[in-house]
Amino acid sequence: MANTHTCNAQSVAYALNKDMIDVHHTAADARFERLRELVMLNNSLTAVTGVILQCEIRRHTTAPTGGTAITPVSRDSANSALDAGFTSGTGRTLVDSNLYRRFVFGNEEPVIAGAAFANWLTLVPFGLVWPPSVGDTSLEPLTMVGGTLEGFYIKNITSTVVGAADLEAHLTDEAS
Amino acid sequence: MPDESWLAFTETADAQGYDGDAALAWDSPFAIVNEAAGHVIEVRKLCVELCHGVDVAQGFLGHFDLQRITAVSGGVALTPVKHVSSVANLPSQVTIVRRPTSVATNGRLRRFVPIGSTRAGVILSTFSFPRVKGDIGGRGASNSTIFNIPDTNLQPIVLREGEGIALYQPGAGTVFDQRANCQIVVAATGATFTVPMPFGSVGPGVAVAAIFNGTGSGVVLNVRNWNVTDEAEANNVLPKYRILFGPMTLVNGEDLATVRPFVSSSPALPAGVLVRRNSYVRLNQFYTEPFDQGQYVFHAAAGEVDQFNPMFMHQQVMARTLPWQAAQRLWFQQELLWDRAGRDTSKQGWTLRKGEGLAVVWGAKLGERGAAMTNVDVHPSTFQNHNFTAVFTRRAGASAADLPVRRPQYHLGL
Repeated sequence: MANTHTCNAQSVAYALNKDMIDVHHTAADARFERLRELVMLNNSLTAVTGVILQCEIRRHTTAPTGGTAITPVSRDSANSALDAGFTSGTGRTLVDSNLYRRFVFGNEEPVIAGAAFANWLTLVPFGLVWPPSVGDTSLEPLTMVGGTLEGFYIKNITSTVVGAADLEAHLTDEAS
Repeated sequence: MPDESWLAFTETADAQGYDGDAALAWDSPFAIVNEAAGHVIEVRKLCVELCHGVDVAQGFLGHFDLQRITAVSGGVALTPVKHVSSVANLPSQVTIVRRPTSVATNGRLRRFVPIGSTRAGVILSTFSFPRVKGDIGGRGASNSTIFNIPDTNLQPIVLREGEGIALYQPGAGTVFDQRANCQIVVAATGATFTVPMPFGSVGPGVAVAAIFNGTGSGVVLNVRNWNVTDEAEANNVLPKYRILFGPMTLVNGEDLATVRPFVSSSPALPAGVLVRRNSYVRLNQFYTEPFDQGQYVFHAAAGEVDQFNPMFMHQQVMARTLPWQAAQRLWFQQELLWDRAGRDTSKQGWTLRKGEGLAVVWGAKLGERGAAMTNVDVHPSTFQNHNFTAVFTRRAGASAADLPVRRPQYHLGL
């Protein structure tokens, strides 16, 4: 098992083409950070008139600017710190690169009664939006290669500003 | 090479009324007890499918956080249950409590929305039926999972000395009971413990349950799995299932469950390996709680490792009749898997040494902390398509380690 860190943010508001959560490292970071899980949960409880929306999982290849920084939480306090070149955030300005996945989500608040789509999106197992084949050791994880400026993020591509989501990125920090 | 593997199932088990001595006997639709010297049985999976109808309605919607902590104080102690009875107890510096007085938080790992209601009368409520501890197939996690490790490259949540983890309620909301179930593994030895955590939602800024590895423990704990389900009882005498593990015997255990080897050339199971349906489980008082403290049986059965509410199962079965779900491969179209050990090879399975068993038992009013059980002579409502399945392995083990650990005994001076 490699050193594992969690980047998470709560109550991230929606906006068209917004970075909902991202992980990034600079070319000066020689480590390999591997993105093992991306989780998105519809945890906002405020009553809104929500919509069905779409999000994308993309690579980006430019340095992020602006937005709100996320402080990673380590699963083991004995883990060494992530390289200084690694950052994570929400709402940052990024330039799209490769598209890996587009998925449907929703920002209607969950309710106590009813099998609303919104309710399903609060369940942690259903919030695992990446990878598509959990635990398949034949597949590489999305990898930030050491010495390469790149990262990955969840991007909302629907025009909506109501509601909010909780998001997580779980990654391992490896030398190669 | 894996150990010799077996599958046992009950098919349709009769619904039987609960009677007898409430302090000692438990009506059990399915049980595996190892009374064979020289053999060790390890239960890797337990599956259930059943139907029952009740009507309870309450509601609460709020957040819970999974938080790292650096200190804990107060609270009611919770007892972790060993998966293998011969392993050492957790050190006294390890604190596991319900409703601690205070915790010092140190980093949020996840926020989630837990069960807030039970709506038996409303079939389509996702807040009632999905939150059983059942597996949803290829995803490898039950709907009630709030933390697991789907990728073997990921670390568990590691608790070193002076570190802990808590279920923490950041916001308002105070309605009835929920239950968490957590598996922890001692890093150096692999010894696996399950901690059943009953708790109720409280006011904002309160930790409802916590595991803290205190300074001087000498161990590192790995948190590998955590589930949260709803345990509302309201005013109904609501049958509920408990999973019991530990020293026990079977009474009136003539009703055999079908047992099949995975490999046809496997030798027959020893006669002392009992796989029964519709029997009574008698906890072995001489191996469990002090003999004169029978109230422990009411408070929490010795070796109780989990509970689940059959009302949720009913919801799931009913949902099959709805045409809009017919085209969807959702969780209720599969067996509901209680898989507290199974697929995570870092965890020990439920290991039955001689005199020990794993049993599903049911009774009324079992969920409330400290509440006395209520005798129910006739199982309420209809009970249809009730089938339990277990997968277990058998291996030879004729050493002293096969004997169950005897706990200190107290005797009345008569």
